[in-house]
Order: sequence, then C-alpha cells, then structure tokens
Amino acid sequence: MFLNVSIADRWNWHLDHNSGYFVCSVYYMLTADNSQVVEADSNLIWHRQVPAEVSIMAWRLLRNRLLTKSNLLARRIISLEAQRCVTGCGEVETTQHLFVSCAVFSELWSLVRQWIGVYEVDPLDINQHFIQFIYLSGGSTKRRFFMQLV
Amino acid sequence: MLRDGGRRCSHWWREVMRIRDGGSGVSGRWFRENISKKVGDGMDTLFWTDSWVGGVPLAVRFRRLYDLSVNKNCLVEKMFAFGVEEGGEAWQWRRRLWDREDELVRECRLLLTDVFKCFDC
Repeated sequence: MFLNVSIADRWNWHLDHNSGYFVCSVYYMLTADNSQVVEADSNLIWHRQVPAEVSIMAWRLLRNRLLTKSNLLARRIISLEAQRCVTGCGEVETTQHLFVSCAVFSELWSLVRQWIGVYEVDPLDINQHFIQFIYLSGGSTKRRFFMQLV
Repeated sequence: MLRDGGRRCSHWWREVMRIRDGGSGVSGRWFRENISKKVGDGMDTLFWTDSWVGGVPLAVRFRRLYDLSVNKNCLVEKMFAFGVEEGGEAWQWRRRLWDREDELVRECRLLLTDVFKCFDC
C-alpha cells in the first residue's frame, strides 16, 4: 500500500462527480426533500417567547390550513365568484397570494424590513419565506414580527 | 480549521458552520454526506475523521477503533509513514485490544488494501 506522492489530496463533491461543484445540484437535492423543511418549521414555530395564538396561526399558515377564500371554496363554503382576494386586486385569494404575492400585502414586508433595517429579496414560497425571515432576523424574539403583520 | 465565533459572530456565518458540521434541522447532514477526499499524497486528509475510503469516515465505520486509537488526529500520510500493515506503528491503542477489536483492525486493513488495489489498476 503506497500513497501517490505526486498528487495533492483534493475534495470530491459527490453530486457532480467529475465536474467539480455546481450550486444547482445542491439546489435540486435540497428542494427534492421537503420533509426537512417541514421539520425545521415546527422547531421554529413554537417558542416560549411567542404567544401561543401566534404560533398556532403560523402553524396553520405553513400547512395551508387558514381559512383563505380559496380554502373556503375547496370546502364548498363560498361560491366560485366569491374567491377573489379581499383587497380587490382580482387574484384568487390563496395563502401564498395573501401573504406573499398580493401587491397590497406584500408592501408590508418591505415596510417591516425597513423598520428592522435589513434588505433582501423575498422568496415566493411561503415556507421559504418564513425560514428566510427568521434566520434573517436572528431567530427567537423577532420571529413574532412575522406574525404580527397578520 | 475554521470555527464560528460564538454568539458574537453573524448569524449567517454561524449557519454556514452549522451546515458544514452537519447539525440538525434545516441543514441536516446533506453537506457532510456529499463530500469526500480523493487522496493523493495524504498530506491534507485526516485518517480517521475525513471521508476518504468506503464512503464514510473510518471514525464512523470503526467507531470502536477510533475511540481506542492514540493517533486520532493523524493525517493519512502520517499513518502510512507509521505503517498500516499488520502490527504497524499506525495501530497504537490506549489499551490492549480484545479479540473482537483485533478483528475490526483486520477488517479496516482489508478495506485499505482493497482501495489501494483499485488505485494500482
């Protein structure tokens, strides 16, 4: 058994065996497995400094269990015509729309960011949004800002 | 060796370190499980704790031996210089090994031999 003294040791990245390292391979690997994200959510939602009703709200939000109009429609509580967003912007009122992409409410995010003095681009997915926002603000205490908007 | 600076360093940086070290939660073990070393001269690879043969670090695969080893932080190059053949200096333990543990050493040496056969061909 001998080592090859003419070559230096080097790192291998398994997902792109021969080509080095690509961000996209990591992206696909991490996004292919959502269970990880859900698990992380539940650790982040519950915190003793956050009021229980806020945590419950966040928990329902991330599982798409809030009574948005599209969810009400799915349960046949309201009619098809009534499912437009409450702001009158004309879009269907889904959780994602209401909390992230709606032009009226998404303004709130940039106001909050100005308030705490950070700048970033918001992810469109609500789970990613939640996680990014929490890590951005450094965890525990500021987490409640997220929910106070609601 | 990079370390994070505790509570005073940026959260972002701490997160990077957590990914490298494979903590629980969002980051999980995905980083650590997808890297390994390709050994050349062995001067930059830790014998026990880097992943360089058989897909996992020897310290994980032969946990018992790692616990007993005197040379925990040795480089691959150093271990080979000591001699990894049977009875070689590389295999120094904190106490006499039991039969079962001797068996593990044989298994570990076999793994190394196999790998180096592949290097040759």
